[in-house]
Amino acid sequence: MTAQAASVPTHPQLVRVARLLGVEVEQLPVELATVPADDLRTLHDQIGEAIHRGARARFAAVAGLAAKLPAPAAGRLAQTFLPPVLAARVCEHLEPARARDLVGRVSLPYLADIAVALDPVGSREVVRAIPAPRVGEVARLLLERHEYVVMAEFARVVDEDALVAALEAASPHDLLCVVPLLEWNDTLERVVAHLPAEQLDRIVAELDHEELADLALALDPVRFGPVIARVDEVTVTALTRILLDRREHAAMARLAAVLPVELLSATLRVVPPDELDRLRPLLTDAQRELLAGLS
Amino acid sequence: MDPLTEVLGAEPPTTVRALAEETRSALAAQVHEARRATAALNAEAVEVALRGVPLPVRGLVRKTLGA
Repeated sequence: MTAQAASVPTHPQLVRVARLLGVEVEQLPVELATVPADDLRTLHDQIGEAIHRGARARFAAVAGLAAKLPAPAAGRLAQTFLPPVLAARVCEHLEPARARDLVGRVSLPYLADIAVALDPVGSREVVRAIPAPRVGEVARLLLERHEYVVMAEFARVVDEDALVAALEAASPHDLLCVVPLLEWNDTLERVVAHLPAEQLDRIVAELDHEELADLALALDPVRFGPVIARVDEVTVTALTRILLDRREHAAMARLAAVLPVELLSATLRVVPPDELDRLRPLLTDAQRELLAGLS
Repeated sequence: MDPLTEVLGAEPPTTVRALAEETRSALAAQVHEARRATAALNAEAVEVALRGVPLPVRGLVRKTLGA
């Protein structure tokens, strides 16, 4: 596994809570790590509310001012005088159409800083108003900064075009870090199922066998079909060995479901008998018939 | 009242309420500190922003912002 892949946060919601509190993850009470992710997300939102409770009217007033100024002036003033953490809160009060105007008037680094501080769910309408190309530009910068947790949170709310733009900005190693953090929904399923050919080619070219196995597991092997369609027999055999070495028999069975018959035959031939015994109950009837035909 | 519930102004999820009192108190203290730091940042940002506003309308903007 690469150093980049190793930097995937084990508990992304803890990272968000720590960031909101202005502390390092290690400074949070240790016991907090036992709280389920959904509850940590709720806690995160409650903390955000608590921290900014007294200033809500002021944020709304700033948003009102921004609506009255010409967009170029509002963008310039915001970037000059409004720290990104506070700008993120003002965004929650902006009209989506106004936000769409403003995102082109501020610098990309400032926008990325706001994205880091923004609650994408609370600002869903504003986030969805941002043109997909601009989302792609911000995503590229966030990925450069290894802000994978932020990317994953935005993936929950952006529309399909924006998600395509964001994921197209991701290198294969970025995907290795982001994919384990994603919450799957229909939009994400569609986008990942239709990653551009060029990106799929890069995944195959740039990830080694161990990393491909990591990605297969993170995606769930049943979503790995478009990648599998681009790899050779040697790679499939290597993936099989790695998954079995990791005792990921269920994942191997799911990978088998997306393997073309000839590749499945080739890979089953190299599986040791004791591993086949573990794998056999997890295979479909058709796969078991194929296996019987090989022996 | 539980210090965390008090500072949040709402009951946290059950799994958070089930944490040790020491953990909840430590978290409540961190929320208090974050509130203080954010309020300071907020006030400073408003003051800095007001300096960029032309003098004749500064009072109006200050009133709008509640500063």
